[in-house]
Amino acid sequence: MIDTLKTKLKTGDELINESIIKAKNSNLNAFVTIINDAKVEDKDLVLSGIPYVAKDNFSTKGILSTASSNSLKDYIPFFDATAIKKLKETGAVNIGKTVMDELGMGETGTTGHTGAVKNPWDNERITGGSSAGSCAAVAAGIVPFALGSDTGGSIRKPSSYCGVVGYKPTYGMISRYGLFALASSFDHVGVITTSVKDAALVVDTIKGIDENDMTSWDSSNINLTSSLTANIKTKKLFYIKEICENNYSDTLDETTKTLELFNETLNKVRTLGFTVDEISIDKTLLNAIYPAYFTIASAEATSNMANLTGMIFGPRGKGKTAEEMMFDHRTNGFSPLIKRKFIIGSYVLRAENIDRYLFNSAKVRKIITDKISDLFKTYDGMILPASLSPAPKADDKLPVYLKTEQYLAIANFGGFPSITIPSGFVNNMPVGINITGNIKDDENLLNIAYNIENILGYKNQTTKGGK
Amino acid sequence: MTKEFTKETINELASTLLFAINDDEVDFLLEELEFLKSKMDAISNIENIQSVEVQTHPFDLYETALREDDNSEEGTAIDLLLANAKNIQNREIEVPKVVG
Repeated sequence: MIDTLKTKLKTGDELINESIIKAKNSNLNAFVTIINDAKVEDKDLVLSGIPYVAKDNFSTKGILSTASSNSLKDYIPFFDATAIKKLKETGAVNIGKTVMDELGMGETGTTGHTGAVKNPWDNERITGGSSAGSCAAVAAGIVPFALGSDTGGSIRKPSSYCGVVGYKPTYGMISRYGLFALASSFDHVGVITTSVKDAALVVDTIKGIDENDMTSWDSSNINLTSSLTANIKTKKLFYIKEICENNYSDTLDETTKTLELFNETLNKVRTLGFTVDEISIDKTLLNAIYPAYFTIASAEATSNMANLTGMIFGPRGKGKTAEEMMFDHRTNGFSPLIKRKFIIGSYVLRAENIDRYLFNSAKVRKIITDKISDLFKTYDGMILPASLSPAPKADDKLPVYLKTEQYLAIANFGGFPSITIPSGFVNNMPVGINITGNIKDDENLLNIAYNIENILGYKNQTTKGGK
Repeated sequence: MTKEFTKETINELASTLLFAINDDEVDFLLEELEFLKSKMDAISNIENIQSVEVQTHPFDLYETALREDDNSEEGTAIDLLLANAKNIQNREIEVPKVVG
């Protein structure tokens, strides 16, 4: 889509102005900030004139960056995150900051301080999160791409619910400098687009080693865009039987249909000449993914966010002493959900609990990472449904198993590159598949996704059409 | 038998974390912690889990490069650092007296 848009550019600013108008007219509550005066600075760069939006947990110089939390509702950074800076240097124009689950800690898109984001395919349904507004804005055709972050599926799940492409590269391929830390060992920067090619193009411009992020690495030998080639035939994929079989205790009708569609998709993938094998993994281990993720993420988050005090940034709390002021700021700044996660994080970090909770979770992480890494010695990728249903309705009582539907976090455990692409519709709502590859094997992963995308036929899909 | 999770424990943790929570949230948390504990009990039954190493990062292939000692960085202007603080006086952030 980005290539096509570039060829249509005449004055340079028309796409920017069009996107700003669309953003203003949208009823999705996708934006914390719309940058009204955004404009093209240099007309001759790779992404000159291409508008985009960024999740509100990216530091943007001079532009409000709230992470959708009252604790940061007036915070204006004095520097750009590396990903934002690189996009600026390649000519892309940020036209807005998008609503997310508060501080990134949520998977529904309903917990931001400015309210819930609506799914553009059906406003009664959620977008999923936490990169809610970014996915909604791309799905609604407001912008061709968006920046998001992914700690346990926060790009890839809402992408499934919104019918768009969501890609998080290998851990550290894109610098996290300037991204508000949630759980640093799980956090990834990634992109939301409407095609694999666009995802490759954008990530090629923002990846790279960064002296401000010690976990970033030199990926100059990786060129995602030029690695996309049609008609590859010999790839080997696997799916996990226990995740894909329909025996959840309180299965929704939409889950049955989603899994049926997944099986149909696998058959289409096989027509490419790919091998797709079924692998069985101990269910006790799979059931441990969610609690292990939750425990580690809560522990890291409560430490990372100890700096939210309202003293040097954020709204100042009331009180006579510094402690009273911080207490007031944190009591009023965090929603109940965030407080619960901080308390759990603090609990598992206590000396008497750390072995049983945090260290056992980190051991589960090791077992899962080793198991999947081992499979990648034989297979090019793991293919799974990106979600077990289309986006639920906002007032739906979610089935119990959704609480354990956290297998997308496997890719965060091991830093594996992982991409969601749309694969069809269930009850007129989009759903996607998720493909995960070995670390630093992003070219191979994207090429697999590119070839699968070509046979599925949902490239450049938005709610405005444009397939 | 002493209960592992009590309202007192939750309130003590909240107090350490410098925020208040209401009784409904405490009740919800007690349920959530019981849920987490049951899952953790299941994890402790995973075969040979005690002999597994903990994993704290995605992978161990980081490239670290030593920079030259003379590579000094330009600092951030103080007015930028203070731009988000609500109470400032000259070059300092104003806070209530901490030390008696």
